[in-house]
Amino acid sequence: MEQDDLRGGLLQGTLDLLVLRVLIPGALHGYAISRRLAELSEGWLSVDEGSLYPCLYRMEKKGWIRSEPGRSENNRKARFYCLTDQGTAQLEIEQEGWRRFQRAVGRILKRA
Amino acid sequence: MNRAIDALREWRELRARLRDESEFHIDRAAADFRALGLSSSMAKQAARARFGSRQNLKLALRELGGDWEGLVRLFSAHRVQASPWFQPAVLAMAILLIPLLSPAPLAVIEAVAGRPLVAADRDAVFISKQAWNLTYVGINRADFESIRSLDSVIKLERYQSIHARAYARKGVSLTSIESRIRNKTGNQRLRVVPLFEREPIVMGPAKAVWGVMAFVSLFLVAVPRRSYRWLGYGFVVGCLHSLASLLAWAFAIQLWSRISWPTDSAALFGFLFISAVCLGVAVLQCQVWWRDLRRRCPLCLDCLLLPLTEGSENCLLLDPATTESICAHGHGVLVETRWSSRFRPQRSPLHGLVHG
Repeated sequence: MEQDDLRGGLLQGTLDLLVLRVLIPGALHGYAISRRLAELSEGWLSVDEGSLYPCLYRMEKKGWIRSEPGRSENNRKARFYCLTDQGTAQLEIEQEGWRRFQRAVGRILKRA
Repeated sequence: MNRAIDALREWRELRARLRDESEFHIDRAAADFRALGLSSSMAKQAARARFGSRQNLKLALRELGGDWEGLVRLFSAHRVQASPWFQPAVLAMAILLIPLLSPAPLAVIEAVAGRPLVAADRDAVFISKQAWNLTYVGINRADFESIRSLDSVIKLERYQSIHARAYARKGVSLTSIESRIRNKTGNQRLRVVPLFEREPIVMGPAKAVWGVMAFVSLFLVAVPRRSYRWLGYGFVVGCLHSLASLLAWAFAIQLWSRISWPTDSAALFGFLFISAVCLGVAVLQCQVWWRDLRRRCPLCLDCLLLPLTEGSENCLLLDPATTESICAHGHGVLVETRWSSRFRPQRSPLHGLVHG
């Protein structure tokens, strides 16, 4: 029951990091990003379109990702997102921030 | 000008893009569900239930400034609109303008007031019996004949077949005429008022609509109960909305009655058309009033800013979409869900020390 309660929860501010990480192998459309996040988290994280597309739009505005129109696997018009150099640098910063956060929480959990 | 056009284009592109992305998302999810063996309609339904709803798209648009309020903010009009004086000022202008546009301004004002304001003939008086519900029900033959013998009124005659009309003698007040008539007839329900000639304007439908709206509005504002200031502001703006709407209705009906309609059906159609338009506008006004009011800070009455949405409309029970907007003056945060809205006041650092 406890596991089910945790399912789907996403710590605020981590979506940017996860999306940037998922885009490293290459360009993906929004649906594929959402599926990839679900697959990599073994179904633990589900990001719906209401959160994903505002996040993608904001990151594009910041210059971390770039979007290009293209065709999906079933030949439908779609927008593909890929990382920019600025986005790669930002991913490093975000990853470092996450590791520090993880270490800090870990220390508290060990000592408390 | 170019900047404004660019901003408008960007706003339209954002809306189109989010709509396209949402549709694509649903289509792909539906394709996946079809691959699992669901029928086409079931797959689409399941995809919508799992990923997207109109409400989700609306919240995303709101967060990115792609909604209609975002358009207002884009042109910096939000600074004017955010002021608590904006709506009252616009409504006051409409209230002043409508009678000015009318062919008979006084008739429009009298129709809304529900009573005549100026007498047509200074000395003419109207005599009738007033019922418990304040309507005039007429005067019987015996009372009429008794009044005829009084010397404080002259030229007594029947008016609209059931009431009486007369002229007051010079120097005799209406109160004195009324008391003399009551003494003479023994009927304490007889009233004497100045006679007004009025242009009849049907106000019933508009007043009924605004009666219902007032009831709904009372319910809406009574639930959050943010502050007396906020309630007072809502009440004043609501009254201005209803007054503007009633004046607009009276004006429209006045124009309708002056048109020479070729047939009765055409006149009825015209009346129904005006009624439908006025009802639609009244509903729209209520919506504007409530949307504006619910996003105002209860302390400074300024608009709350920077809406941020968390959760999803697809998880109404476990993780419902919650939007937080903040007061620019630091008075607190408004937390809105689909079902409720609650204002959390900002506590000062000393609050914890005082209240523990």
